[in-house]
Amino acid sequence: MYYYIYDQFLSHKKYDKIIAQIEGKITDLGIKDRIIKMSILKSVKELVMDALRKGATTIVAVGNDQTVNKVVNLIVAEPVVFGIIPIGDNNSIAKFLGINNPLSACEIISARKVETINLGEVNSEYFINSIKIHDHKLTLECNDRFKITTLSKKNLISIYNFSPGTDMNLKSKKFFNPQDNFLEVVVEPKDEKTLNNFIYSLLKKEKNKLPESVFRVKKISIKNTEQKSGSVVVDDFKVMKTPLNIRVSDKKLKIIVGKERHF
Amino acid sequence: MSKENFKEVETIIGPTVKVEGDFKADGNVIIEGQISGTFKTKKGLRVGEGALIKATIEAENAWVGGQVEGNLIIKNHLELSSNARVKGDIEAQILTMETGAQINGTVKMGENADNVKIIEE
Repeated sequence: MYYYIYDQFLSHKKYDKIIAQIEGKITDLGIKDRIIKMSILKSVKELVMDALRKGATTIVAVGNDQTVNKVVNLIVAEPVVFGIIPIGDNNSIAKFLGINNPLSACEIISARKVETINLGEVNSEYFINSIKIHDHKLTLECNDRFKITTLSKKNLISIYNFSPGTDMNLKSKKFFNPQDNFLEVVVEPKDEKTLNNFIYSLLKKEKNKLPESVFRVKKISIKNTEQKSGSVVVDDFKVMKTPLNIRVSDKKLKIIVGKERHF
Repeated sequence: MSKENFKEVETIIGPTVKVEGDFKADGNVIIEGQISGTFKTKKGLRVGEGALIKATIEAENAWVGGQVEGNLIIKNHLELSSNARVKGDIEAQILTMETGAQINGTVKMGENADNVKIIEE
């Protein structure tokens, strides 16, 4: 039985047309079973638990990356298949899975190509895509074996289960595969006028920005720096504070993917 | 292995990071930054010109263009570019050196380096 969970932001009238089109499409495809809507009165947890009690076999999050994160955290341990119908902005997870627009998402759900993917775990919560940290200097303890310390003054440190998109110089297909049981740590220096940058550009005889560092790891520990708690952003919306223990979760997610998926 | 054909990479240690401790990899690794401790990979290693290494290194093949302070144990082919500065002992089946490369340490090659093995985890 298919359960569609609509995010609360879809109650805005600007989404009425696309919602009507989606409902028409899933009716035509014969996969319209139950539609439930998040609201101020009913939490997503209540909705998902109710759907599971009533025998949901497929739960489809209708919304954006934030919707996906919220629903995934509730179904990780459950024997259900997960699907996404992306609406609005911030749908990088759906895009990575080859789901590019709401109507093609309905066809993808109907075709039901299911892949099992890794999830990341941060403290006691799950993340599906990434953790991002803007920091001046930071030390990451990896796999209980080695430490990574940033030397640049400003960095964007990202921990990925999925792809970072197309704006990076990373050619290897080995990176960013959500089925490889690894997370990727990417350190991108953000300050242009450092001694390191100057020396590097002299040696390389070019003025390109400094290259990223990339590590494949299973476990990362981030401690407070100078007794101060730092902030990280999980799946581009949820803010969490250090100290953090991050790892590839033992639990996996069965998810419906499109032909144009990036793995 | 040469500098040019090193494409399929597992780890990149860029010029703005320092790695300390016991680092192990299964695939090819590029080091442009700093590393101290021990370093092992089952495949190739490229040490860039700006790299600063204070570690014992074990790899299948290696191309070194920077500074290494520590022993280099290379199962097959070690290439030292003209900017390579190695302060430590070297073991390798094959060693190629460009003019200007410097080694301060002992070198074992060919049959004398038969016991070179990449240690399995």
